[in-house]
Amino acid sequence: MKKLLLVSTLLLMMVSVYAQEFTLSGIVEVKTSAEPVAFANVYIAELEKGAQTDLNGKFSIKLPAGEYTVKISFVGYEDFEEKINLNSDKKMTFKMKAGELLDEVEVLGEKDDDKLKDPTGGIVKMDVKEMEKIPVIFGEADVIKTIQLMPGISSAGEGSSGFYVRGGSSDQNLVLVDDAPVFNPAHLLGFFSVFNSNALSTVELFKGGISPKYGGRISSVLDVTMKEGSMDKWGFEGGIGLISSRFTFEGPLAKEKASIIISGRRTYADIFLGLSKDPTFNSSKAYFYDLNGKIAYKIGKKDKLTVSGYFGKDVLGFSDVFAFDYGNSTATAKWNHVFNSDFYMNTSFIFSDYVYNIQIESPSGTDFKIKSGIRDYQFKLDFVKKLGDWNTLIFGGNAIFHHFRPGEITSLSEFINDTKIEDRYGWESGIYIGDQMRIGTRFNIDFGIRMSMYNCFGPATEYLWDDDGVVTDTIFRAKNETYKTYIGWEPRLNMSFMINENMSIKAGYNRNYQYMTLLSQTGSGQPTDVWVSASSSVKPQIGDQVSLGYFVNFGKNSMFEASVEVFYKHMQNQLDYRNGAQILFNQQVEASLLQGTGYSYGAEFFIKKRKGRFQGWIGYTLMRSRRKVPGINNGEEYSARQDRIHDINVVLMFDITKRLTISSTFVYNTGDAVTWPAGKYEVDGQLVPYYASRNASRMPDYHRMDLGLILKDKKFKMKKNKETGEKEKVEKRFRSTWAFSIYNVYARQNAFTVSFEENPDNPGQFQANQLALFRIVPSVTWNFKF
Amino acid sequence: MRLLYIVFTVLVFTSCEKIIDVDIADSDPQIVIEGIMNTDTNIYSVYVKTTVPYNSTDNSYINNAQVELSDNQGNSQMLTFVGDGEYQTTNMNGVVGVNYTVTVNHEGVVYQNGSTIRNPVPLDSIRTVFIPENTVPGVDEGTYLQVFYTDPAGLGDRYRIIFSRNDTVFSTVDDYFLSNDVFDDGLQDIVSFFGDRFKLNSGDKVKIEFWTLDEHVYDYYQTLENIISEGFAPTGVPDNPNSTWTNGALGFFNAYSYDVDSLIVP
Repeated sequence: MKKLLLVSTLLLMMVSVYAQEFTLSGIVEVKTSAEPVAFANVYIAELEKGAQTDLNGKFSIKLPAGEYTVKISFVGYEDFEEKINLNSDKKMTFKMKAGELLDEVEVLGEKDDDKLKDPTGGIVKMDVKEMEKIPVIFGEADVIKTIQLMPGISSAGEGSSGFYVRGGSSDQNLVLVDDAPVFNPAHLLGFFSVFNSNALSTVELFKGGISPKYGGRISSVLDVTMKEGSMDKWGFEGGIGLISSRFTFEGPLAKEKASIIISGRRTYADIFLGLSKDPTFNSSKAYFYDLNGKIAYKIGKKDKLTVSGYFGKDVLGFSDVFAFDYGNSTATAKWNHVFNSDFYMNTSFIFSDYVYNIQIESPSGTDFKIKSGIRDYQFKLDFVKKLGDWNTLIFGGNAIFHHFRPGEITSLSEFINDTKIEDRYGWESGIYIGDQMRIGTRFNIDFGIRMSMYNCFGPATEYLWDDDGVVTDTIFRAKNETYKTYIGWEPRLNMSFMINENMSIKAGYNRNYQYMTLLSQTGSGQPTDVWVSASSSVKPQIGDQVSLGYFVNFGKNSMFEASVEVFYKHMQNQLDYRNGAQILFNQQVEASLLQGTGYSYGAEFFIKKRKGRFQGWIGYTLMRSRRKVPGINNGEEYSARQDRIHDINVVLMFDITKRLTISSTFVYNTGDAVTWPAGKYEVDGQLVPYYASRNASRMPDYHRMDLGLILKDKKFKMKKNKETGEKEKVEKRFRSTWAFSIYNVYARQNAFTVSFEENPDNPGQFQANQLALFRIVPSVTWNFKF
Repeated sequence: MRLLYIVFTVLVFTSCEKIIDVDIADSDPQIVIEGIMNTDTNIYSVYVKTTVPYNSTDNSYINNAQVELSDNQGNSQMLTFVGDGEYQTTNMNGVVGVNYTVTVNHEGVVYQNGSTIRNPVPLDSIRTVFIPENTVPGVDEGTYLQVFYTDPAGLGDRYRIIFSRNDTVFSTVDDYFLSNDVFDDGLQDIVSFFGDRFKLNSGDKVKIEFWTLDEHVYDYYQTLENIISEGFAPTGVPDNPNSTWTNGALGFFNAYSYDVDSLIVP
């Protein structure tokens, strides 16, 4: 506690009081919908001073008394200018009009030099508009698939919604939708992510420089916010594709006061299955659906309430014999309160749940049900206090109640017993304080600390193990008895220095604790993977990362941006499995686990052309990710599965005309580190591969090219003016776009798995059998909006 | 719509398999020891050899080891080398409840493994069952075999079923019928032999051997099956089957008891 007090004292000492100044504060909204405009730039021309709006469209800036020109700009909106006379604190609402730009290619969601000044390196902001242009599998714009195209981030496998950030594993990413964690961001075994692009507002991924307000995962934070409905008029949006369709509607519940948005999506591949004459197909089920909703309600000028939720489910089934469903549900209730223009607060209640159910009615009559999942209840409080134009203090805390349900079998027949793997309970809490400030004109610093705490509590049967995984003690913990506590100090620091107006360097350090780990059966994420809580025998993961980056803008109007970032990450208490570990339905699963250290390091090169008809980027990552776990590989260091040494992404977009855009992506990465035989022998009449070193072999290299084409309809139609009788151009209300894409254009057979089987023509010899999932996948989607 | 369906299926769900060339880094040879015995009166063998390189077509037998079989009743005997890594006992039989140990001494390194013959669990019955068309997905109309046994109360029972038809023992990678009592302790269990390979014709002779296994032997067969049939362990990382030989030898030693039943398909 002492340390924290010291830090907060230091922070408070930096509070500088500017007397004789007034505060101009306000909210920037879309003129037609009153939806807040986040990240808009507010600029006081006379003083060359500026501010940026926050996620709620709010900003505040301290100015000496005087007359000023307020300029507000944001991509996709017409520049806004207004003269004001400031002689007292002033609160204003600025309404921005959506500009022509909305229809043009516009990649940049920020001012040219924002990225240079931002002290945080390793941040990726995805523009939902840009995302829709990039071809992905099955033609569905997808946040996670697009983010995988950025340097330092790679896909966890063909078509997977899992991703690796800077050599970390996929469960080390905190995936948030409106502050609620999503435990399994994948649909249809990964080919779709849970994010419906129609329902999203902003998407940010932090590869490093993670703000102290986030905690719980050591590799990255993917922070997704859902769109708010329009407070002005009703709108509809949707898309019809080969595999899925989506529909969104939004509008005012009370004009300028309350809004609603509901977005839904469903696949219908199962309808095709039904067409088949083959009973194996026509009695199968395979679909998913999801729903996003958000209600926003403004109470007076100082308070705003939003309630949002996500609900999704995948259903797989096979006549009456096999039924499998899984899905996430989240709910967030958030109260935003403004104390004054410099001080505001967010209070949130968050619920998050993941569950899977399996029901088997076997022909032998051994019928049973399986249920497993995880559920969180969270309370969160965040404060933002402006201490000056370039000095903002953030502080707050949260407390999460985790309920782990590793598995339960319910018997539906006399041939099987009810079995339940004991539930686990944990309290994860954190408090943080941080400060973002500019010192002089060139130096930005963003620093803070988070203190996290994890308590395991009963009822629980606690097992203690020796080094060989043999139970040495069994302790029964009573209800609410805390039996293990971990405390983590997590310092965070980011700095940037502007060398000149087009160049900056950044450095950062962060430490993160992670109190839960996903026990994965494949490494790429499966619906039946189980989260395991930290406990007396499973220590929390600790990640330390240092990074250094050089950022530059160049070309006419800074049309290019480029960066080089290097990082080193040290990871403690990384989990691996003992030989022959059973991770499903194992009461003593912790005995199957081993912990060791990991590290990764690498360099990310990035160049992007962000203006003009021709846009795109090239990213290259050179990286290693290694592990050392006592008990595995004879205690010697080995490559983590995600040790992709080279990773290249090329994304190109070209506007042929105002209505026609073509795009292309190319990805290449070194094959995953895998364990292949190092010999063979015969035992029990079988030819058996002999395995020696862990992950010492490589899958074949992965590469693929995708193409996309987007054709928009005409923006205007000719209409007769009733009064004059003349024909004139009128903007159409109903707009539509065709999106065509081809995944894997040159039909590369990328290895999904390589398995070793006895050669049927040559007994005693193995052959390596490669399975590729897709050849060419064409798709077409028709999107509309009115 | 029909055309669309075909196009869709062909393009999207045609996963493709092919045989590829792989670079293999062979390791040094590792010792492999295999031994099996039961309650019959018989001559039993222990086989000693080493692993061979991935592309090798040869075997690599160890013919200069000393192999001993002992039990916890104070009996022991040296096995006789008969050629190609094979060492034989005298004519003998295993006794229920006795723990047997094999000790192999090769070039000064001693490898040891023990296994206890457990009380045999009897089969309740074996029966044929007729499955009509389209009642069980993936199973054609036909006559199939079902095996019934009752697990004794108390966790830790482990079984392996050996299926033979017309004196042909099913012994491929797909024929590891392993069963435990983790989820059905003390209950009757049914094992069904469904699928094309097990389709029975009138007059077929079916024989079922029902082995009661020591827990670690079951564990060996289970992990062996995972590796050879799926190509990977349940944790996604391939590993060697769980051997209980000391000093890192591969293989197993199985001393088991069994029940047997057979029928002629009517």
